[in-house]
Amino acid sequence: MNETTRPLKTLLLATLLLVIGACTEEVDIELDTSYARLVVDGQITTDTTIHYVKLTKTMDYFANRPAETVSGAEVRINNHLLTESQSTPGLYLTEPGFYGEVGKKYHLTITDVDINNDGSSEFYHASDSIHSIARADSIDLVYQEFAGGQMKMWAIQLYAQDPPEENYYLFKVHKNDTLVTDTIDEYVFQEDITFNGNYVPGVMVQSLEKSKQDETVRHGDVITLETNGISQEYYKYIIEVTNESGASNPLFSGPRANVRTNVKGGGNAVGFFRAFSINRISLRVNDPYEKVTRF
Amino acid sequence: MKKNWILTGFLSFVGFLLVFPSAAQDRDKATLSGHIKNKKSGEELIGANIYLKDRPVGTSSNAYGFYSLTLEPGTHKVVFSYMGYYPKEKEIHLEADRTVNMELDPREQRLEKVVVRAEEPNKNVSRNQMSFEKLSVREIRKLPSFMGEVDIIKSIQLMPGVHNISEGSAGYSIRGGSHDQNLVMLDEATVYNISHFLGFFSVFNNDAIQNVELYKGDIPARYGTRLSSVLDVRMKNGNNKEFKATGGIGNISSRLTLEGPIGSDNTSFILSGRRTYFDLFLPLMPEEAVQNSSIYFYDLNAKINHRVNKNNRFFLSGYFGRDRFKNEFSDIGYGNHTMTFRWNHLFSDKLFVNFTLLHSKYNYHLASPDKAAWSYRWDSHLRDNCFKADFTWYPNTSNTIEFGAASCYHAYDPGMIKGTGEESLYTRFNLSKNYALEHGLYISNKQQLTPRLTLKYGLRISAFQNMGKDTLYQYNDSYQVVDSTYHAAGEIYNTYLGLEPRLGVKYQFNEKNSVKVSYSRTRQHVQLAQNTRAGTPLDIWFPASPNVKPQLCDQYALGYFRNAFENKLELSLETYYKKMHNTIDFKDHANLLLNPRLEGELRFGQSQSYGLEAMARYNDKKLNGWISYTYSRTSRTVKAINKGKAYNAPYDRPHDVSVVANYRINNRISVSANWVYSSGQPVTFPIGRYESEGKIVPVYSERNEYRLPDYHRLDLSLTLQSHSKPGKNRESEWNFSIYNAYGQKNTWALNFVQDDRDPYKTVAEKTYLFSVIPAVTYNFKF
Repeated sequence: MNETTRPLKTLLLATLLLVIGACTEEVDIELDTSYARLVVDGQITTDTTIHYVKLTKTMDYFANRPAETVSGAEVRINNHLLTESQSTPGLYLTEPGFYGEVGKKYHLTITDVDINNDGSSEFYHASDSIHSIARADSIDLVYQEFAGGQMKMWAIQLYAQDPPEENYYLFKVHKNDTLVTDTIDEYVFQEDITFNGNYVPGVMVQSLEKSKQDETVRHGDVITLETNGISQEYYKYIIEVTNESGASNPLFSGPRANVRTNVKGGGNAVGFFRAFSINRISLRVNDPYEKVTRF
Repeated sequence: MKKNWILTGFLSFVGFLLVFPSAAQDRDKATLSGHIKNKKSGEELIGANIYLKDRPVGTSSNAYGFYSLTLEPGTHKVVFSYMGYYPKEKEIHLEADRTVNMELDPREQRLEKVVVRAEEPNKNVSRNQMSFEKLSVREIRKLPSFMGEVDIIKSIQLMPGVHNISEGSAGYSIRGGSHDQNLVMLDEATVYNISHFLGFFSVFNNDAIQNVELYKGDIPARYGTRLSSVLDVRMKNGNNKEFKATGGIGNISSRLTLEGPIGSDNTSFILSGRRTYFDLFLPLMPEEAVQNSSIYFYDLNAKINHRVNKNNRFFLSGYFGRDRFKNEFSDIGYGNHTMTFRWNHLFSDKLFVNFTLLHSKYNYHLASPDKAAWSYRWDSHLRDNCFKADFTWYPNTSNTIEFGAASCYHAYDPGMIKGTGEESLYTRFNLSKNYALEHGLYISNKQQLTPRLTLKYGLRISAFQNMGKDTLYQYNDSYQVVDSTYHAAGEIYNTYLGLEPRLGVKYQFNEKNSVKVSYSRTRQHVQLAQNTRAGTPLDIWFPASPNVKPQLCDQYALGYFRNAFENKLELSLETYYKKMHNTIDFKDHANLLLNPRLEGELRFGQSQSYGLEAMARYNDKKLNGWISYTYSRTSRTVKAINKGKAYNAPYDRPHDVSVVANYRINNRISVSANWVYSSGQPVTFPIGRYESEGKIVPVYSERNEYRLPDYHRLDLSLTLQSHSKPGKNRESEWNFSIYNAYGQKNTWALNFVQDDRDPYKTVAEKTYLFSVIPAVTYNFKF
């Protein structure tokens, strides 16, 4: 439900701030520092491809540079050993023929790392399961204008049957095989608590903004909607990352709190090892303005 | 067995009270009783003072203007006085019981040539009540306004021990408590959400308000249901002598109040409305989108009262208010309704009773545009129906006994969602409703033991019952649902019963000095599921249940009160300690909206609060105002939050200063200023960072380990009154205000965000709401 109400809250807040004339400015704040923690960013999906696990360390909040990588670790997914990339240190890769299967649980283990520099190596582990997700019947592309044309975008509308069990959806969009929604805050995620088991009758699940060069839709483009079936744990992780990496305000935000992690062991690790299923459905655009809705 | 013990305890206490004063009662005494009123409007005066001129014997009028004083027969010099009115002195021959109704003349600012004292001169010292603030609407009106709206709630926030919970918020924290621990009543009906426009204004329209009393501690036994404070707001009854219209136009709203007698002076009414009007200009805007938007709030207060005879009087009052924001993205509406029906009855000149029927409702909706399959509407509401009986018994000069009972039925509907599109995604989604009964039974006595020593003791028994139909979940130690039980409609499946003792002692050394001590225990069974600092209209109140124990608070307070310079200067120094049990906080990243398993998001612990409040108030012909300083600390210790370590409560703000001054330059012109300063709010800051799927995620410090920068602000105002023309009953005034006169950019929110251009760069960004805001208000009366 978080997802459903967020845009409303944002708009309400925007209206309010506009009316009373709020301003934002950069300020200097001195922050304390803390010890380095292992950062895990890894995933396994149902695609047959090279899957990755990226290991880095946390750093000072105002470090303002790329994170320090963690090399030389022994990284395994269900006992398959990953090899560290020659070109990108800290990036550990599977064989190209590797794939995950729906219903299976995947375990990540990391050894031979010494994040706390105490001379002895630490052991970390994480696990996640792959969930199935509704296969889309079809998708639609609808050009929409909001606020009298101040906001212009293409909505990708989904037609699908939501299965009877609890589902957690994650939607991403590709344009001509390039992932357009490439950061976590551009993902759209939704639990099915309010529509469990219903037919999804053409609901907007992703969008492409006209104001962004790489998202503008033209004749002949192939738009692909990627639907991921994710675990409840990863769903909550995404919500928390979205909240904690974005702005907060006294009206709608709860107290700041660390984002969860499924990485256990060792000192104190952060990040997430995720396993999910992937469904894709594409359409070739003939006329980007064939269907138009104005709000 | 516990119940029996409590009942026995209560009965023996009642017995003690009944026997004890009557033993002391003197047969050859006579009772002086009556009502105290405003001479011009006929409005009853609440808390007016009636005392003997030559001896420290006296009483004050109750919430209906009634007083009763039992004295030895003979001739007495009795003084009747009230804040903002000329006191009256009367020689009264008292042979037998006698009724004396007194009408007091309100002080007209411009006519003020003689020194008159606002109240019983040393009320600050002699009042048998501490941790108490009383505000008159006339006083408030002179304070600088925010966008032209002078606000009771904003004025309260200038008192020691009261913090606003966020800049511009109507919510307030009293002595470290949360904002849902304040009982706010309008004509005795609970007002669940006091905010308009997300808190920048309150629901109280000054023109309709007669009296405001705030209890920060030492809470009388007649009040219950909330932990931290009571704000008792009473509406005007309406002028019963002549028809009057008052009103005003401000920057954002206009107001109109009509009042007058109906038929005779036995019946009068008041009707008061307020509405913002800037949305009326929206259709003139060039953008079509803006033209179709609406943004407004309104209030309507209405009251009618009828005096049947000397012993019976009826009141019916209501409040209806609503906020609405609508544009093509969203539609949000929320508001309160309250209805109060009261019957005042005098059994005798010593026994006064008031029966009350109350209805209170708060609801909101949230909807998306209704064209699409994903369109929805979300509705939530809560309502209360209550019955109360409150007795005041004046057995003799040295005792005033209050006793009574209250019963409430609560129904909470935390949320229902339904799709609004022609072909909709959503099934109707209902959260389980909560039903509960809440009861209170109390008795208390104010007893003058010696001329110097006054006692106040009371006991309240409160009971709370959960009622079906409901599905109750059972949780394990890791807050996962392990089982559920269904309870049928009307089934009472859980009862909490508890005692709330109250005690106060006043020792008055002399006319100028007194010491007061108090203890009170309060219980709260219904609270707000909200973990944001300032709160939103999306309130979800949830009751105590087998999973949620009632919150308890024990408060101890000690105060020294002194008046100087012929009572022009009132000094008070109070210190308090509060221990709160079963404090509720929410787990990290709690999901509180539309969550059927809300109770699994709660974490329980304890909190404590202590502080020192110093206030100096000066009242003279030309200059009046106050300076207050508060030092206070509040911390919470909650299992599973901050790893179980104590942390600063969200409203912990150690230093707080308010300076309020009003200076009358001449009969027409007066200027006011207030300056506030307080320590910044506690916040959690990042101490590290990492990247996750393209976003930089902070690693945080301990909860509330740091503070926002200190807050300070100066407001100014100038009031110009019209020339008074003899024989003309018409008055008007202009009020010019400047909010935040030196344009301090106070931090409203402090965020740590990724730079747009360089994804590896993070910056701290503050949001401030207001710089200098001028405002003009025009008020009239005829």
